[in-house]
Amino acid sequence: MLFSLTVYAVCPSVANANTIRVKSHVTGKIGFTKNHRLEVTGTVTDNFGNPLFGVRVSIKETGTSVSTDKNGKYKISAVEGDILIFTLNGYLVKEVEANQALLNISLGESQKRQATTPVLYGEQSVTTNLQSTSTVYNNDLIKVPVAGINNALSGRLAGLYTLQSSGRPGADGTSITVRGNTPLVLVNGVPRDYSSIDPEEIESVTILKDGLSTVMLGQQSSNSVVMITTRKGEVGKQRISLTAQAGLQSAIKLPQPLGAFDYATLYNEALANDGKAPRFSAADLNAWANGSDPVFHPDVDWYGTILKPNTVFSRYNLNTYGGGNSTRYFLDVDYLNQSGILKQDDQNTYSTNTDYKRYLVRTNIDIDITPTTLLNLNLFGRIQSGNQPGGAGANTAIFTTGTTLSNFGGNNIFAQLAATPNNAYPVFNPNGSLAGSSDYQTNLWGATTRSGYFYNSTRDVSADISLRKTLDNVTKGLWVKALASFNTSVSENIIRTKQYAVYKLAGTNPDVYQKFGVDGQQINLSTNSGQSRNLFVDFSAGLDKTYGNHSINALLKYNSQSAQTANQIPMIFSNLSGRVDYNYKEKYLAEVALSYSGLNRYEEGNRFGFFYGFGLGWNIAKEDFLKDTKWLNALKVRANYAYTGNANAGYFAYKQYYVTGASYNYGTTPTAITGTIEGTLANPKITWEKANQYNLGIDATLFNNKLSIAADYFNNENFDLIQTRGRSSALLGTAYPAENIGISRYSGVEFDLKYSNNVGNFNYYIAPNVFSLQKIIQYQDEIDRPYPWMARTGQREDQTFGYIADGLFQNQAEINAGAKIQGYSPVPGDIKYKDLNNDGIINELDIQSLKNNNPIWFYGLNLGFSYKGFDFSALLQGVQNRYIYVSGSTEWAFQNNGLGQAFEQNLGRWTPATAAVATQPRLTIGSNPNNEVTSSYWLHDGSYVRLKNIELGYTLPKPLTNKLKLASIRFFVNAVNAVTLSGYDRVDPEVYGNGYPLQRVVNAGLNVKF
Amino acid sequence: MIVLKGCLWQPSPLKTNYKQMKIKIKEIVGVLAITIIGFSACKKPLYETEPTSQDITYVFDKTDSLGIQAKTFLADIYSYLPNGYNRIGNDVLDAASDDAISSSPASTIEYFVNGRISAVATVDNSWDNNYRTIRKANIFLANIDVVPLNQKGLKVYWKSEARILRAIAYFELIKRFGGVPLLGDRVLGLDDNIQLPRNTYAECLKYVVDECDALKAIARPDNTLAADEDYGRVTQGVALALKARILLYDASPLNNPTNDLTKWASAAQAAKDVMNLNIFSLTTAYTSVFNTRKNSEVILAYQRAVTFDLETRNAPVGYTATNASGAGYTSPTQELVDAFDMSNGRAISDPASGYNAADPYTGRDPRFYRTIFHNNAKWLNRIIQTYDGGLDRPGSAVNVQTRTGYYMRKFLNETFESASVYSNQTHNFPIFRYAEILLNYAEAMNEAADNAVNRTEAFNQLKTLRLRAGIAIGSTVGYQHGLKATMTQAEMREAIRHERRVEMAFEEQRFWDIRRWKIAGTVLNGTLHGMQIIKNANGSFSYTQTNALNVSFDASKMYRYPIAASEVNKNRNLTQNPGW
Repeated sequence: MLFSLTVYAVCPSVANANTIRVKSHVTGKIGFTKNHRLEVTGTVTDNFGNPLFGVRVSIKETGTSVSTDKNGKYKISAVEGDILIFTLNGYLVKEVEANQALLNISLGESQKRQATTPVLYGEQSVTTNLQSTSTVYNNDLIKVPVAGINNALSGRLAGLYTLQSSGRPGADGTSITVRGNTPLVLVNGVPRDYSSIDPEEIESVTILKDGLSTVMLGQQSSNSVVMITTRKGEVGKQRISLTAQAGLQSAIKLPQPLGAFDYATLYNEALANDGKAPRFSAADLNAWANGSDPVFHPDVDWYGTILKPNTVFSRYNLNTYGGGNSTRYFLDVDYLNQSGILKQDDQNTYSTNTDYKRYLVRTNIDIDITPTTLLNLNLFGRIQSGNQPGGAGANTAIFTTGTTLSNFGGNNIFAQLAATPNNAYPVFNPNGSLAGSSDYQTNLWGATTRSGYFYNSTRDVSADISLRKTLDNVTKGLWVKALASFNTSVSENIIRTKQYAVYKLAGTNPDVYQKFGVDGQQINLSTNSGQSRNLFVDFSAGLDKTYGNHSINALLKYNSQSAQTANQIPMIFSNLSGRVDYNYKEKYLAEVALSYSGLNRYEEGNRFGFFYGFGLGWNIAKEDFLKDTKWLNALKVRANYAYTGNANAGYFAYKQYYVTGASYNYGTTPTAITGTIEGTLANPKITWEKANQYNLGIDATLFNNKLSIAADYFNNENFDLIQTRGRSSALLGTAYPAENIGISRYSGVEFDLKYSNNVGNFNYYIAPNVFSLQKIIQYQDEIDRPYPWMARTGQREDQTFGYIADGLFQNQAEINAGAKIQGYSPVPGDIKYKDLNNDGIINELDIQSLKNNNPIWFYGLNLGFSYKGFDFSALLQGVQNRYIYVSGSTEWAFQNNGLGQAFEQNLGRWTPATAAVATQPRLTIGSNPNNEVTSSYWLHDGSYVRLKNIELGYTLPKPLTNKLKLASIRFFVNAVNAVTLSGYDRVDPEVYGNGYPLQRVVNAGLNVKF
Repeated sequence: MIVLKGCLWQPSPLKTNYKQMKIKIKEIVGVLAITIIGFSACKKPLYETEPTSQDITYVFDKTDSLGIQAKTFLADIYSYLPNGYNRIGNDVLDAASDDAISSSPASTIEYFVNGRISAVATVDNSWDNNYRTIRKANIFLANIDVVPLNQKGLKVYWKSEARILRAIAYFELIKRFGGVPLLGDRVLGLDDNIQLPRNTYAECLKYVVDECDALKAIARPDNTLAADEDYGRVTQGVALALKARILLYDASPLNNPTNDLTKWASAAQAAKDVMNLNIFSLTTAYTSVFNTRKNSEVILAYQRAVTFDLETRNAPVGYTATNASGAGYTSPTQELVDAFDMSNGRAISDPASGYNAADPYTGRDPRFYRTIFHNNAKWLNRIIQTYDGGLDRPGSAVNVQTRTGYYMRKFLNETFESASVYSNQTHNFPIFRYAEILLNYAEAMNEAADNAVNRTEAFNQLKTLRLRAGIAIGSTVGYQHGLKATMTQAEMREAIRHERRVEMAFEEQRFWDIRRWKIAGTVLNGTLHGMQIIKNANGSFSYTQTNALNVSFDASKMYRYPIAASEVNKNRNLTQNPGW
């Protein structure tokens, strides 16, 4: 009794709500049925307040239903207390109790399930599509507060894998692959090299995975396609959406360097291991232990000294669309500001941070010039700017040595951080000057704040104009279209870097300093660091026709792309292509696609290739024997094959060129004569890479379309791959050219599942995807390898080879018994390697393939719900069978001849006392030729799962927003990279070593619709 | 429609290709092609559609009567001549001999002396670069004839230059590997058989000697090299000097196990041929060989731009100011230091030399002070401190600093001794110089016959060199320039080897000499030494010889380099050297 009372007390509202509801229900049903019949009317709108047509309004209890008219109006006869269900494809289901005569309802958009799916140069009915494609829509993309679209795609599409190797603003370094290849990016059907684009302007991103879906691209058809479709105007009154959001970014994890005391202790140990006298005395160690002498015994946490714990991310977006009978428009303006991780010196009048700012504008306009003629104009403009400190040198930048934002130089500040021990030097000297020493002449604080800055700005403009005419008067369903597209990009650097000197207090006399480096003049340079132009023209004609049970959809196309980078001769693709889809009663499906495609980078007469693909499918669910199976809505099996191409020709590699060589100084007054040399040997036979691509798939939807399944198996044989021959003897006297040599097989499976349903107003969905990828070398021109384990053929592509570690030598007896290491005398604590050929010597014959950095299994899990005004979504992303090879100054202690840093993991080194539990070999100064060769010892499990994206939103109730004269107001909080679980937890499984750390972004914002 | 101007859709390729297609496609293509050709109206394109300005006709230009472009092709070949300064990592090659060690404990040059060298871990592997030179020379020879040079005789000179450079490239290969594949004048193509076997050492030797013989008369004569801008090109003298060196190497124990005396006689004659030109002579001052761009002694030097990179690489590490710094990459050994005689010409082991172990750097052969930075010497207006804890040997466990108490001074410009900063100066690397010819001659004469006549000839060369070095003839009876006036053949051999070591230290001679004499197995097995110097309270110094580096040399295989495993694995017909 007491127990139940407590419950009652804790949850009074719940209890009340139930009580009341039950009561009214019961009352309605029993007592006052006839008296409380209601004629409910109202308008159903979307979040903008626009009427929705065709919304099914049904009464839960009886199943009676009506649909809304063009103005969103409905009228239904109900009993007070009935539950009305509002459903419309693409919108969240809403249940409302009929308690008044006027019920105006607004429906939120859900994960759209479309009747059509984007395909190359068009759309295809989901029912008849034979290609392997996956699509993600705007509403998922806008949840992710990141700059690049690549990062928003992670984990959402089966077959697509992203790897982010840097967290640097504006240079996120996210690589994207689809079925193991770097895809071609098309924006509205035009090849574009854009990944930095704002998600609000995107309607959908589709990946075209199999050969049939891409073969019309001819020489660019082997590598899959990421197809971005931007939003368009819609008929209706103007709709405005304004979003403001701001977040905090922080590094997921930073390397953990040792404090000065630990560092010095280990240093002495390493010296002892090398048979040398200790470098640090007991007094030194004591000074670090108690921190009593910060001048001569500094202990500087460099990461904390120059890096901010948090930085700011903000984005503002305004987009509006609408249209009348003849004109429709979409306009999007976006501003993004991502600040960098470096601390700033207030004395500077300028920023020396790694900031990134981006301004974007897009307008898409459709005009019906005549009832059959549609003019479409898309304009896109982007300004991006990035900044960074100048770094240590005279004309360098902290990340780059000169050109663009995306360029990571060896000068990387994180490499310097990883190479600077805590006791190297204090930040400042007692007299306020920057400290340093002959060994450490780059004061890190100086590098980040006293070295001027390096500013890069990139400007892009693109314009597409197209004219489409339907020729129904000739034959119904016929149309023609012409499109021209131009884009140009210019990038410039403003270099204001300068040098700074560092000083070392020479002795105890506070006035005597030794100077290193110079206080240099500021460089004032402005350079053009890159430009490109791209012209694309496209003519197409199509026919969409049904003759009785036969439906035909045909497309014929010619296009040409001229891409020019800097002062190179343009790369010109020319492509004549066509596609025919046929189906019989939507039951039996067939498709053929062809392309005759050329590129001007091959020798004249050998520039064009013919590519083709075909597919067959069977919609089993349409067969009579399954027609009455209620739980099965659709079931389709499909198979296709395509012969595709990949132009990978280099720059006119068929022709022999002569290039600038080394210079020589003849003469009593030396005058350099710049030499000329033969360039890379010409290969007149060079041609495009080819592939035979096979794809098998099943699509099914079940249980009243609540569950949809897509499964694919692909097996692609890539051949004539561009490689340098293995038997490239130096006797030739020049570099070997790329030749069409290799054969590789890419294969894998993909599963896409989605289940969505509602329990009352609780709409939810769960959408997992899983896929696999194996890239196996079938043939390459191998050099002679005496043992099978050395062979590359049969191994995975990008395979690392190394020794197989067999633990650490524990004692001299074990060393004496083991195989000898060429040119090295191991001692206990060194890594022991397996002697694969049992010849008693560890050498290059004992090298075999190591576990691979590329995962085999990939998965994503997208789930979410909405309830009343709340919506929630989460995305988990992960990979399996991935291994990370760690090496270099962030892994090993005292690199760079002993100048390097040491890290937490180095505490796990082998010592006689810790022999059994050691996780690292014994310490040595500088590089150790035995322990630091490539071996399996340094492999870590790189599988991971991330809570990549999570979002919670709340939309204010309609009556409230109506009062404010707004269509809707939604608050949201979201996060990127919220939680990461990985076998490699030292830093991050994607950005390890000395990259710019991956950022966790926690973000909040507000969206207002008018 | 600029795109279509690219002329990809010219009628010709289209016609030829669409014939092969099926009829239906043909029709479709035809209809579209007409449309497109209408658009394109292909005339001459607005800009080049493939790069045409950089093909071979631009290098070997039929209209280039001055050969301006062809000359640049030759210039590139020159740039691959041996350039001996700090070229392996940061080390000089002789840091792998008994003369020096690297100041850096992790240097790859140490592979030569710590046994790590192998077909996989190669150092100084010049295989690729020399075959590049050979290819370039062959391209030059195959194409130069189309260039209508209007200067009479220039084409013959240029062809001779290409051939001598090619011969030098073969010599560089032969001295490392023994016999190598000979390509003749062939320029190999992708479809040629590149799996070539090695020619024998004798065939390779004959090839180089024959080339030298063929070119010694037709190459550019040295005394006509008046035109300043041509200074530094290879000449008749270079052909002769190359022949003199390769024949000396051929007569040496490594390549002459039966001690065929006619080989020594040929070598002596080849050296004499250079001397008989009467063009080259020793410079008056020893250092002007290295610091003057044009001088009477250098037969061929690698012509470098004026720089001070040698100083910043090799000067002691205590110098840190901008444009006045030193990285101290090379640590000469005590063995080399001890090889320098006293200024009276007597070896320090000779009680009559006046050597004082407590003051070891006083009164030495003047060449010592031009070759070695020692404690208490002067540089950049400061006294060098290589004593323990001194500025130039600070002793922290981490610095790259001298491991022997010495730094390399040779080739550095002596004017910086009392300068405050460096300035750009000439540092040409001597490939062939007259002093070597004299030493070659002396050695070959002494070996060719065990008689007094030959020994006198040999002795005369040593005297010439020692006189120039600043060692006076002296008045001690039975001694001239500190050497015994009458020596046995064996004593003379030692005197010549000793003179070679001192005179040509760090010139990439000692490294090869200890190999061809087959003494590396002796001098490179054991310990190389340095000097620990303690500064006493009264300012005086105490000297203790210390162990600097334990070295080993496997005489069973290391007299020849291993051919890189990567190369052997690519070419089934290429046999590896024995033992590797």
